[in-house]
Amino acid sequence: MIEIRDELIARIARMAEIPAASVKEDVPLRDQGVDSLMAMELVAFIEKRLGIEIPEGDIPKVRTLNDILDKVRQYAGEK
Amino acid sequence: MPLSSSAAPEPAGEVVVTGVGIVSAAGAGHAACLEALDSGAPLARDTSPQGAPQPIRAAAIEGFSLRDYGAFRGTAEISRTAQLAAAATALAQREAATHSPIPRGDRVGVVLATAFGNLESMVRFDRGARREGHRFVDPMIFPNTVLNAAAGHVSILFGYSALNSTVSSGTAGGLQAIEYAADALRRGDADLVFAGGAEELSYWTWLGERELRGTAPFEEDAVFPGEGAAVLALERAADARARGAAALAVVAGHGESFAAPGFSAKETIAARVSAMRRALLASGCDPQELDCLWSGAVSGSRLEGDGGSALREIFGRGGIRVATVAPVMGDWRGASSAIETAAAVGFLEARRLPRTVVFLGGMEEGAVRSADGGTAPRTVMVCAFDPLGAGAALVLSLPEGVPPGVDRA
Amino acid sequence: MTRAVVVTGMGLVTPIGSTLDTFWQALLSGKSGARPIRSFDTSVFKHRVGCEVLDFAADSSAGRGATRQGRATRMAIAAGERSLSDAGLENSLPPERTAVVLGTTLGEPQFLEELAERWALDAPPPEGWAEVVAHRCDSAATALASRFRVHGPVQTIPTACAAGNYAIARAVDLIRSDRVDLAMVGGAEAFSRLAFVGFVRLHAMAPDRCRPFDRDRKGLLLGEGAGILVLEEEERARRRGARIYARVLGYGLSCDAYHITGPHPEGRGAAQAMTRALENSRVASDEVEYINAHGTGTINNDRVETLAIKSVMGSRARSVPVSSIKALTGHMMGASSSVEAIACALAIDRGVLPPTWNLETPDPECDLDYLPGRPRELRPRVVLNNSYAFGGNNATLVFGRP
Repeated sequence: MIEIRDELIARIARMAEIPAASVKEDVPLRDQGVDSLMAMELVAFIEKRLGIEIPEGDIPKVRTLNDILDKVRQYAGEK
Repeated sequence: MPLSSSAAPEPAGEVVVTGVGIVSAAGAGHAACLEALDSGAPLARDTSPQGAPQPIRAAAIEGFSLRDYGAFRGTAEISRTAQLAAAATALAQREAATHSPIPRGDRVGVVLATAFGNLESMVRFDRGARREGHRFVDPMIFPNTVLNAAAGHVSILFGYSALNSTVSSGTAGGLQAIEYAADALRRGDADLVFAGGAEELSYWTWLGERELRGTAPFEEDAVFPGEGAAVLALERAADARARGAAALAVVAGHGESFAAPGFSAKETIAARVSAMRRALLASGCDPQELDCLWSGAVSGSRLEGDGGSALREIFGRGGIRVATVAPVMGDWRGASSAIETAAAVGFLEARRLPRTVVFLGGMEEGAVRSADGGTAPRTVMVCAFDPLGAGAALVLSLPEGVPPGVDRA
Repeated sequence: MTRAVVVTGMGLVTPIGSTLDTFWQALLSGKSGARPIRSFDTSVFKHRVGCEVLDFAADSSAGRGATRQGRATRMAIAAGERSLSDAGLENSLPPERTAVVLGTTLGEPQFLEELAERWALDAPPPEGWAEVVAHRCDSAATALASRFRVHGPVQTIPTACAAGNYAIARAVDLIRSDRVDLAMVGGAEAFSRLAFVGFVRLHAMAPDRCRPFDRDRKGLLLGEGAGILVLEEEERARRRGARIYARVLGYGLSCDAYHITGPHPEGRGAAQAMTRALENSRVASDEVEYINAHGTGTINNDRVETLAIKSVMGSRARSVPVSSIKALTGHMMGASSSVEAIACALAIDRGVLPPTWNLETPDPECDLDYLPGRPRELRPRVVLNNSYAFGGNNATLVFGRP
């Protein structure tokens, strides 16, 4: 889980062009410079990385990094 | 063929150029462009654009980075066409803001011309979807598949929200974009508009053109592909004066017409004459007063086919000096008349013409002659006649009261 | 002397009919163009439904290379022919005083898509690029101008989903400024696998129905088609006794300058386009009696468009009928706003407002009168036609009674 979290933080930092240390888990991604397209890319990364599929209807509800991690827990279990 | 009697002159409101931005294989800025045009040396070299599977001969911009033009964020996934357009806009903006700031973003607009700015993105997106699956292809490529994305990105990066449009009419597109912007200014829909064109090199466009041409080597005087962006800052003359911005040139007259490949030679010549005559009429410039014609033709045979007879009809036996950008910068396709116009303004400002050697093969004696580097121009015309039919002409002149410079014998 | 612009002819090719009557009847009766997609294999996708034009002949294999015309071009020509004959101008367009201005999103993607089908992964590219490059996005406009021997300005404005309105706006200027007296305007778009994949990837594609403004809406359905209008200078039209569907009172363009695919969250750009359109038309917002919405059926667009309409219409907002025909036609991309412009002109001409179909459960955030499932008998005095595109390109047209 920690690994995935770190990988996500690294990706968010790169996309939003901010330092990894300043990425916040509970602040909406949009407010941190991650737009909707980038967010889709993050979801796709998770799906590919963990071999899971997040249902279409869940995707608009993913707003923060914590939301993404919740999905990981929900669909991939603790890893 | 006479113009119809109801051909009214251009609507009131003089529009001027207050800044020029050019990004090309010659380098950044118009000084580099003018120098390259003076030297006359083709900028083609072997290059592999955007990871092409094999090198092609083209005038590529090596080592381009948008970061060199400003602290732009979020640009990694925007197309090369959008990046080139943003860079040229930054340069035009810098020049326009030399003496005083340009208007606020909500009074500034963007109008760009491009023909193939989305092809590379379309191929990447399609291949990506087939390779990785439609669920995993990078979604950020998709918006680049629409031709208006480049202008859209420029507006987003700079915060220019008064007006935004894209025009796609092949070689005539740049002139149509400039007139679109000028009209918006005359209506008061914006106070400054960045108008021009951008086109990126793509292996796929090169493959297509090679297939269309056949795999034989290029015609001796035909032109290799080029890439770049050329953007003009346009304003109403009164506004430019009021904020102390230098007017580099006046957008004095514009004309457009259409002549499809299937039209007769007579109709085609008439249409071209019409476009050029309208521009001259609107500018109040007599053909004999025109110092130079910037032609969008990309080869000698194209020049003859495009405008030889039409030029004779307008300019008569004296002929007209012709300058072209393509032999040096390559064929910019949908942005070609934008770079022709930018070069024309650059040379007007420099009070001279380039020492271009014009294609002379196939041209009737005296119909055109080389710009000889000695004339100090006052009024020039840019024209572009696209093979699919759209044609346009634009007359540019030095602003009133500006000394024209001295003819160098 | 101000020159006014009127609509004297219309022609279209759509998934719900390719004559004005069949199209209009479908709008009023709810006949949908949504069907299982046929033009490419959808087995790898979860989404399978789109709005293709079934009764438009697939291109024949006769004529290879650059002489073959693309689908969007052929639809534009068919719609163009119908519009001219509707206007009674088949053989009497004044060549120099006529313009052609069209819009599109992808132009002619079929040539690239055909090539892509033959291009195995990790194999070198096959041949066929000549056709890709020969069929630029201005093919439809130039083919139309060639076909009808137009000598005036011919322009293509590829502002994606707002392209038709942008093209119409440009032509309005050309007529008002006395450059031309007539213009064939509109947009054309062919069904495209690339666009389909794009919207699926953006999670913007509905599984079965397009449900504009519905609480449970799930996105757009892709469509295709062409809409061409004949715009004419008003005095000229009246002198020749032309049948006038509606007046084009004006237009408003705006640019979000916010995000390349998402609208400004408060609809600032959309509101600006409507406000500018009203100013350009010298019409007050309280004269507006119908709004043909962009209404794609995506969560975002419909919510934001509603906000924008409220901000422009103010306290009257809930009493101005709004509807989206995309529920039936799908999103015809570059053709959508021009076909919707035709629907606006028909609404004025026939005195009926078309409903929004598939709207079953109201969304608290979308609480205007969307005419769910029932046409309204009303001959509107002033109509707005909204369209919004990737890149932040927004456009609103204003139509009025003749």
